[in-house]
Amino acid sequence: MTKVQDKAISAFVTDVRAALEGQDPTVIADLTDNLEADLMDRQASETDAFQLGNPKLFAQELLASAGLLSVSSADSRAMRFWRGVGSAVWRFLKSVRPAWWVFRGLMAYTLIWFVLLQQEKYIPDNPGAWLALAVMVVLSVQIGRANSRNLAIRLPLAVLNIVAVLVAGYWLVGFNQVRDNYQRMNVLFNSGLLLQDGRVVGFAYAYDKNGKQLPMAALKDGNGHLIYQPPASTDLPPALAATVGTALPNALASLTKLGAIVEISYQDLPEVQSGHVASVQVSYDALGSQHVQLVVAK
Amino acid sequence: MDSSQLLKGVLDTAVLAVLENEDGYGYDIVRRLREAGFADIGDATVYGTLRRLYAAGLLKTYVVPSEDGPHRKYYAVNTQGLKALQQQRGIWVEFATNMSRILGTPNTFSEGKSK
Repeated sequence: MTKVQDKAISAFVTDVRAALEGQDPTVIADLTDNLEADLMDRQASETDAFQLGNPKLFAQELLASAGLLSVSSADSRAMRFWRGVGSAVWRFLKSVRPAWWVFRGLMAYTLIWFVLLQQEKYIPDNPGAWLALAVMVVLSVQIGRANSRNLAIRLPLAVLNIVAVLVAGYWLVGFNQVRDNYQRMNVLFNSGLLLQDGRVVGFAYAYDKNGKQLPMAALKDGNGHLIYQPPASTDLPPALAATVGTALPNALASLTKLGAIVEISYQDLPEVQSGHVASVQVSYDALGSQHVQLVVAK
Repeated sequence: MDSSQLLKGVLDTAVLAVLENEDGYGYDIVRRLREAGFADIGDATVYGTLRRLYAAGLLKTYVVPSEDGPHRKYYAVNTQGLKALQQQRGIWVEFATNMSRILGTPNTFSEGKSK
């Protein structure tokens, strides 16, 4: 009986050594050199209760308690690396959690403003709105600081965080639109162009009460500041003057070569041949572009 | 919480303490720990711990020939091991005192010490 058990112990130790394969031979020797004798001692001590167990698990337990389990193979080194990366990312995210709590408060403010008041408020613009934002931020930070481990609290909180992320997407799109509009208006306001309801005014004309256009030297506001000054009138260039009396297609061909912006108006002019140019006017807009107005006989 | 989890944190100290009294070989140390109350401790856990403490320079070894079986590798605490044990003993007393205070249980360790 004892010899059978001795053989079983020898086989067990062989299996343990096989399970330790890949370790430094010195380590294997340190861990197993006296293992057979120790197991025989245990066998003598425990008699009928003696069991050898699983050699692989025994080897794992040896390595774990010796502090060698995590460096047993190349695979575990790779896993250790990625665990390290994951751990570093997690530690970083944990360190910026307060920033997320503040941002979450802003998202809550945006959402409540939108849901309750049907208004898109990305940035507070009055004391009441700033107060509402402050309340939301404090609330969000306090919830974050509580760091509850209660599942009944953590689950709804996770849902709220997901909602906050969705609102953040909506908020970023809306905020970008507001910013783009602001930048566009800023460019227009700084351009020096005359604006009417956000549109650029190319020309300004003055008319009397009978609807007759008046000659205008300058347009000024109530403080005497110049708003618009028409370009100084010039005599028609010969190329434009030459279009008078010509057929419209021929006139257009000439004007196209000059690169002018052409505006055509048709009038009943019995004295002029139909489809021919009766008169030409030239003007310049605030951007300095040349506009040619052709009056053509119907 | 079971005591095996707690034991993992203090096993090094327990092994050093067992060897402080008397040198021992692998299974002998396991047996002494079990007799001290750690009945469920695995022998592989103790053998691995011995190897780790030896690699850390806290233990020394020597071989004792045996007439009726294989030679035995005995472990003994060296000077560095004794220093480490002394330090861990102080940490344990403080820890146990604090835990006893929190749990409202009699601090038998401190009482025993004061006698």
